[in-house]
Amino acid sequence: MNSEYDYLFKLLLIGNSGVGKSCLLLRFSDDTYSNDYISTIGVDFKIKTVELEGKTVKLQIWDTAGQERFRTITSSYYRGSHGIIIVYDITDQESFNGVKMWLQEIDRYATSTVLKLLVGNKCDLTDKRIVEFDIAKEFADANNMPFLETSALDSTNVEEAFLTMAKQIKESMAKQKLTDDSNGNNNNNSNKNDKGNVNLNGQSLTSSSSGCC
Amino acid sequence: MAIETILIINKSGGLIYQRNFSESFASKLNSNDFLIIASTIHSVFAITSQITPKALQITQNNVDYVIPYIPMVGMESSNPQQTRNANVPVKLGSYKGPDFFKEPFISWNKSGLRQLSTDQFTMYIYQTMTGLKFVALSSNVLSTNAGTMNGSIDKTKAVNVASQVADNFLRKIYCLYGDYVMKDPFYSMEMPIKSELFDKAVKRMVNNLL
Amino acid sequence: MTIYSFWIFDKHCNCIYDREWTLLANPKSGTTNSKQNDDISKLLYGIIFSLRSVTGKLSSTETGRTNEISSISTGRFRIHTYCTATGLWFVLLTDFKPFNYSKVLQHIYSDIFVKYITNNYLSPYDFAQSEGEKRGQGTRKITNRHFKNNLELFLEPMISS
Repeated sequence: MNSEYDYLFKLLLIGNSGVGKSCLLLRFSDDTYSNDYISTIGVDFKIKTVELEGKTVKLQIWDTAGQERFRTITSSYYRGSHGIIIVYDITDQESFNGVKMWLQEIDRYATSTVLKLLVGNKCDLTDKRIVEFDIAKEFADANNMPFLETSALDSTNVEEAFLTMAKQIKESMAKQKLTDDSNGNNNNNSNKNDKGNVNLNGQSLTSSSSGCC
Repeated sequence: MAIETILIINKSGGLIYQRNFSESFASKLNSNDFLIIASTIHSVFAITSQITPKALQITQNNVDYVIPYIPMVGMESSNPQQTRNANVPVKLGSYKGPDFFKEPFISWNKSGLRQLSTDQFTMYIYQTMTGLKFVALSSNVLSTNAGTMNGSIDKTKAVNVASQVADNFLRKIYCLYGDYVMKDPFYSMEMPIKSELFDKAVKRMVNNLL
Repeated sequence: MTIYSFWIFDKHCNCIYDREWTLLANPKSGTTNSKQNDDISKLLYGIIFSLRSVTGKLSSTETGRTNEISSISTGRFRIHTYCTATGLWFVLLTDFKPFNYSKVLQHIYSDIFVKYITNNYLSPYDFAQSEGEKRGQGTRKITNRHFKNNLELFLEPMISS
């Protein structure tokens, strides 16, 4: 029973409360869980089993609560995550402004090499749109992360993005293993040495505030 | 103490090892259920330190976290069914001597979840300094007076005897982890443990525990 | 034995009574139904709720047996719980000294709570304020003077001894 899967990846879902994080992946996970954890311990779990290059990979998605009172608790959930998905609501400017704060949290609590993804939710509500696609895209580019818009009605592109993320994590793990094995021989690529290191410098508040608004 | 299930949870809350040793508990659960159980335990673990009573916050922490060494927990010699010559040394991998360790140790689990007792089982959690958690599910139900069986009740001791045995036992599983998992060149950190040798060693130790 | 705090949760996840002792030498110290305990009560509820769902999943396949949590130990204190058939949770935070607190909680329920709250015509049957109330949002507390006094009287010898 234990050897059912070869890899376990931890993906974190963050964003202000009310942006529809939980709805995003309802059909994506293996089963529908009727847990009500999120309102009590600030996190809920969804699991998706995928096959990558002949290996069974479990994607465990930690769906965190956006409420303020869970802030100190949810920050402890960042530890060891492989990928982080930041969600905002395109009809709510406040939630988009919050993305910056979430990025700071990521800098503070997660490893520097963690993969990030920005998702604008509820794009079916075009008449109520407040956050323009171009602005968000520019912001995402400035912060070096992929960006896409989606809705709970059709979230296939998020699911694709998740699978892409899983592939990237697996590749970076394989790469890390290679550098580990050839450690000391010739490390021309200094980028690879960064893998898995904790960013001790913290975030620079001045440079990150240039993106938008 | 009959062990039903052993779980190992990595420092980010992912389940990296799970083994059932009997059919009575948890046999109907699939791997996803166990992943959720493990991560829930991890999350609750993080929260328990936040609800420390005010009376404890304002007083000096006088809890003694030293766990006494209990001889031969989970070792072959503790199992009377296996009659073996005492002169033949037991093979313990890279550990010398008849047991993995012989001295009391400090519990690093100072504010997190340690033990969960229900009508049907008792769950023990041992946390290492690096944040790894070893969880044992035992079918023994603790009576609420379990602590009195060693005669004197130590006022400041944080745990009862059963919990000390569990800590000793789980620390030995940790020793096995150090020997069989950490020294495996094909193991990738924080990922599921697929070592057969480790599995066998754990099973042996569980069987030795009565 | 030492008692740090006592809590009652109703079936709507609301904390309907909380009592925390801050100075153990003085059983009159501490807070009753305090707003400052709001977040803590929610976290405490969350811990018990989550662990109950874990133990529920892990329960034996034999039918007809319940798998109720009796105690949860952390590195510094122990949580004792007693759940009634009506969905009330009685929770006590204590030190590690062996003592059968489930009997204590049972007594509080059957001899104090039932007497002064359940059998009291003037006390609300349900502490939720409205039908459509969201879970865990209620603020109504037990304020019955007799309940308070009898609870204090019963727990006082146990607070620090």
